Amino acid sequence: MHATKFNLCHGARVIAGLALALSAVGLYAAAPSKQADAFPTFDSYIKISGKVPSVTGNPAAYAERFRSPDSGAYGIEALHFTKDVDKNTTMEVDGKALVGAEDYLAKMKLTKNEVGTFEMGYKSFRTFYDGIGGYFPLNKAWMPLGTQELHTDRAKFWVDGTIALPNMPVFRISYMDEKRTGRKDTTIWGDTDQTGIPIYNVGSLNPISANRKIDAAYIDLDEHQKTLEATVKHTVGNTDLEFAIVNNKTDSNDTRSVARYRNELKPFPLYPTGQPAFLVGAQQANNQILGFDQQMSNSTVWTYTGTFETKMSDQMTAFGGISYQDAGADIAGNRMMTLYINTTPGLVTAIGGFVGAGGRPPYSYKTVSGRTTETVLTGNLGFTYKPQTDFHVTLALKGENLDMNGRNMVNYISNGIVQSTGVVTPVIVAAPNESKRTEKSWVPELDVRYTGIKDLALYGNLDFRVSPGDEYGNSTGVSTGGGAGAPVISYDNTKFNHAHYKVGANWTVNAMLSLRGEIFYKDHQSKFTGYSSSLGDSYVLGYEFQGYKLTGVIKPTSTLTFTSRYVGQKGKMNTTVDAGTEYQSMDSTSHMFGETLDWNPSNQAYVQANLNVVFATISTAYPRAGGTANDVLRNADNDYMNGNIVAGFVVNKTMDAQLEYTFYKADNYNPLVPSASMAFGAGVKEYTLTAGLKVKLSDQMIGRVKVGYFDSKNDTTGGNTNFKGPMAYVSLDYAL
Amino acid sequence: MSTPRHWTKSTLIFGGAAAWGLLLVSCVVADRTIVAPPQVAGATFVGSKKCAECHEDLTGHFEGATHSKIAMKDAKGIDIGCESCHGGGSVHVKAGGSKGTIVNPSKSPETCFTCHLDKRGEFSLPHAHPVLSGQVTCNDCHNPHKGHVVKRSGAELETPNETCTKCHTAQKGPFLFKHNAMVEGCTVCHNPHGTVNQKMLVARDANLCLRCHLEHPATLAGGTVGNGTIVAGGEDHRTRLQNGTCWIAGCHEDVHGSNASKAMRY
Repeated sequence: MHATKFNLCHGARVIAGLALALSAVGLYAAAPSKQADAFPTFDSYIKISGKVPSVTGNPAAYAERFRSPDSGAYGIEALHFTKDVDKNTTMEVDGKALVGAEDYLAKMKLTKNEVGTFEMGYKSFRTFYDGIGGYFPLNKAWMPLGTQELHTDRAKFWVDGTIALPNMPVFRISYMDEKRTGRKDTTIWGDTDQTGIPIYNVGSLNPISANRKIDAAYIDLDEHQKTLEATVKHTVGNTDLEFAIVNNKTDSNDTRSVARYRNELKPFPLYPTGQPAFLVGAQQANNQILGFDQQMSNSTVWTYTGTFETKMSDQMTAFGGISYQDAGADIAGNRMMTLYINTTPGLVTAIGGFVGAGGRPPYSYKTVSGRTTETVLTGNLGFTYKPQTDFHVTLALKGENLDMNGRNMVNYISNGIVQSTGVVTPVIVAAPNESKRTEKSWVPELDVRYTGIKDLALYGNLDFRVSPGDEYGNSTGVSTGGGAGAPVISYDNTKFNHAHYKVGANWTVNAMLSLRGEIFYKDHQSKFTGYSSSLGDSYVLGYEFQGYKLTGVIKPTSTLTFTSRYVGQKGKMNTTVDAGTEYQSMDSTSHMFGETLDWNPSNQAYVQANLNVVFATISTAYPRAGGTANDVLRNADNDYMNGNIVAGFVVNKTMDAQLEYTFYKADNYNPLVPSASMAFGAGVKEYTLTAGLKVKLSDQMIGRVKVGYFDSKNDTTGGNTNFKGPMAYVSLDYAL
Repeated sequence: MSTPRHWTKSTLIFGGAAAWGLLLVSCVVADRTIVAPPQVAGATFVGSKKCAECHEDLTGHFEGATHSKIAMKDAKGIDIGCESCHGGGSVHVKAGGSKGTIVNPSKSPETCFTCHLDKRGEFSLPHAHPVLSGQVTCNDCHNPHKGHVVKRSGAELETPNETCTKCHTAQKGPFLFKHNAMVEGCTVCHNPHGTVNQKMLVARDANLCLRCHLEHPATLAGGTVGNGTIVAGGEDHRTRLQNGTCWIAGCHEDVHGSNASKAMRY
């Protein structure tokens, strides 16, 4: 399924129509500025709206793209109410309740002059997912979770109070309770042999055809976070002081469900003669496995922070702070992989792998439990020096000490399965793990700014993070034979050197032209050097990125503005393992072009057009690997083009109109890759076209109506996530 | 991409002509200015000093903010730093600070897109934070009024990753076995503004991981450069990568850090 060449003719026709409509508008000179017919603005109002699409195709894909279900959404799109409770007190209420989109807000804020504020609120919104897996074009294999959208909800409740009496310390206390729940898709897809790729080796583990991992999977989220924060701010002389205590508790219980070799079962009795008493890997391979991975973490973090800023003179300001963070997390989890296998008496199921040579997969465990702790002590100190009004220099230094410790116990499960009887005997193997890490970082930073030259601003910034440290790891897995594996112990001295530089200039050439330019450069090196029993091991990763940001703003007339932007970046990475040769592991290029046109042909019309064109490539193994490896992995191309054109104009005293066309195109899907591997590149073409009216119904009421059409085609999913159809939207603003 | 039959060229041309005709008879009798966001109709610049009269808490530290380097001045040389993002302030001042009379970038990203055109393109992609729909704002991750515009960068007390983990708590840790990519930062693998790939990944395939983990083929015993291997962790991953990505089922699934396996498995 190769992405066909984007048909620009459609876009051209649309733009032609818009241009003709707008050409009329351009005939008019600037209108008078009395604004006698201006639409009212409301200090307090309620906006009620409804949106209904008629989706043909994949409704879940529509929901994910438009963040709204295919059944539509309706309710209160916005509510704002302001009232002076008394001479010094103001109350503000904000709200939203969009049923369907499940987007809600309820917020109330009281402000009393020279006393303080009190605010409380609740906010939640829904994110939709299409639940897709991979698509394999050879036999059009497609194994989604279903056609209905998945979704997660983020909800937040908060209370915030501030006491700000004149010339007194400002006290603030806040409490926030956040939840993230629901089901979302994941890119951790399961295996299938249903790919149609012939198996030529009769001894192959694949009973049907070659394996690809395209079976959709999902994660159930249950994440909860509570944050209590208290701060006090005060100014003593020329010094601003702030002290904060934060208590943060998180409780996560996320579970991932994945099916491997869904509905596959190697037929019995195709086992070789002279079979062992216990089944071994080759016999059980590629039968259905239903996985349920549960990860739990219950953490508490205390953070104490104190900061100051002192104006020492008109030229010099000092600032700094110190922070101490103490984090601890109880960790737990299960990895329950239920396998299905034929035995003489019939089908049996078991959780875990096999006892026997090669019998480790599907590796499972239950009741992993342990604890991790981390303390971070951070301090910084800086000075801002202004030798003259237009010259600004900031020099700062940050130091950080991090200590992390963790240990757990994992109870792996293996099974002895007797083929003749079907008896399953679980074998539990307890395996301890431990890790420690320290980092001692220093980050100096210099920031310089000079605006002393007329219409020109020059600036530069650099920071350099030097972070020596130490890592220890002791990881004990389960052996292929079902017992505890040999511990893998590592001792590493670590060193992270991360430097960032940028210089730039903003130049207002004249009233018609402004130019901005920035050059940036990143140079990182991460080094791991083994010692003790790891002596001789080493891993060095070096990378550098350099790039440019260029912006030009051209205003040929007072009503016409062109803004152009280019961001270009080149990157290179190198790895050196042990005493080996340095190897270039990546090179990348990225070119982003952006253009915006703002045109007000008259006071009664506007046109805005935006276009973004991106060419981006990340190259690792290809083509350096050579041979058949080049068929396995091609470069990651992330090219795309998107944009929109919107035109608004006054229709009459009580009506405005707006037309909008948006489009997006990505053509990175390579249909040649799947013969040897998997093609993941985005191949999408889509557009939307809408026409809307805004009508003043009365001095207290404004109505809006919009109709449109959308169309989205996706090559990467073989067209299985295509959708299209018309939509309608209507709203009413009413002054309160 | 085919045009639906009812959206033909003729339809649009005639529709445009109809709109043209409508305008001929209507515009001349309507006295109302409309502008594209993020502008304020009829507003002119008043200067940043005027803004500071009521918003000293926001303007007080702006001199040290990243965005102060823009150093915008109007034709008379008056500092219009505030209004370069918030729009002309004259209507707002005249209305006594009334809402709806000034551009509020915390409600809409349009102001930011005025200069950061590329970010408009990224947020419009299928996989992006919901900034265009208003559930997340630019200010959630950026501070335009004080210090670094990328919160927690440079020599500031906190670290940039905390911007992400304040919402994505499951990725915060501390993990028993940390993925050191997190030292480089979340943005090494994700572009928070949006990408063409699921989960806002900067690469959807194994290139994502191989950037740091691809090793010299000679690392494999008997290996030579260009011998058709893809070596990572001292092993040829070529046949495994035929099946999918590095983090696919049964492999290195726990990419943010694992509490069970040093090899980043669940």
